[in-house]
Amino acid sequence: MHLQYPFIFPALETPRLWLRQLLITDAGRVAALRSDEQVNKYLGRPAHTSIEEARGFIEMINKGLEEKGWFYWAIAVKPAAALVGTICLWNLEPEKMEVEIGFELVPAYQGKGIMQETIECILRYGFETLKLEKINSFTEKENIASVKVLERNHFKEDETLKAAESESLIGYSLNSTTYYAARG
Amino acid sequence: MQHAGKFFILLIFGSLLLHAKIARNGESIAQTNQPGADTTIGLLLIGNEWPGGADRKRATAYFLVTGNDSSAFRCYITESKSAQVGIDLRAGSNAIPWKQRLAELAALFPDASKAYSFDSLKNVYTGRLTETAELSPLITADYRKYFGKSNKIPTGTWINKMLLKNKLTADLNQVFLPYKMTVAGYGFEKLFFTNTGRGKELDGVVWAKMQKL
Repeated sequence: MHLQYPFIFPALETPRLWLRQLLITDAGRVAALRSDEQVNKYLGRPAHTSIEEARGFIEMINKGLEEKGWFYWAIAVKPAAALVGTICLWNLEPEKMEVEIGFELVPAYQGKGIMQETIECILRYGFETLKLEKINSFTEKENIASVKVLERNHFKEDETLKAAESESLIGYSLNSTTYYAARG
Repeated sequence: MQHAGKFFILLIFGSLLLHAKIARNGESIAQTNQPGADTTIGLLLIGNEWPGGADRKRATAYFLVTGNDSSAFRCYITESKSAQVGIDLRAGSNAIPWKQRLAELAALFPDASKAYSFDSLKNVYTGRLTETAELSPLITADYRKYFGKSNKIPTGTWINKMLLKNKLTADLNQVFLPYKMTVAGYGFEKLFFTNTGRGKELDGVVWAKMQKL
């Protein structure tokens, strides 16, 4: 089985959120997100991002969308369209129907259930529309908020992923069987 | 530059003359800092026009100015409120060869290291791999040597090992040697193979993690 990529980028909607394609006009917000020390704390990413660099990043992401079939959504809280975070499905292994999920949210919107609402929507899209078999995620052990979000969504620690990455990272995964069983 | 009007531009002349001449066709790092040339250092003092101001103590862009011509290659240095220093290398395009960027860095660092403590340098952001000019195909060639023809990106640990043995590391180590700093490893984001004018090359955002020698 192979992934069937949609012809048009899949903009999604939840009760409180718009999940839309990342645009070059998001550069200022992307730069702010990627410059936030709290957001970068567990990513090991340098905490300074210019708007110029953010534009380059967005161009790269959109190139990945075209060439590699990535999905990279900007998270916007209704009714505004302004980006407050991002979520992506990337590192696709079409033969295995396996992808990696990554997400980040500006601190002002954390603790409000925004990421939970986002992930529920993306998992539904990934398993039910894309027909994925497995979604992986890597997070730092100390990133409690990220671990909680993953576990709340039935991700489990995956030893096969743990061995592959650095000691401080935990590999989590969720397969389609577990996803559908949890949905009931 | 979108925010150029908001930046306070200082061109340091007179006693701060660098006396460096950087050949546009690229010379080795050892040939910089030749006395008698008309090259100076330009500074952009960066304020809250940049995002992340709440966490930032100060930031400056350094670049070479020769006559009326300022180099498009910028070395942004940031100090956070927790006293960590980061460097962001930005050329804007592949028009400036990697070798020349290194030469310009070698010319900029003596002044920059007086303003910022390189002992506190934590990372050097080199940007997208495909924007490192002639270095980019060499990184891809090394990738092929290590990982073969497969375009499936291996785990971070292996990429890190590959980059540590790559010319990128050798060049950064050479340019930071006078400041007793060395590359300890790499962070990266979204590595993938993409089509460039030179063929299919490894792309992604990369930063070097620095440590004291």
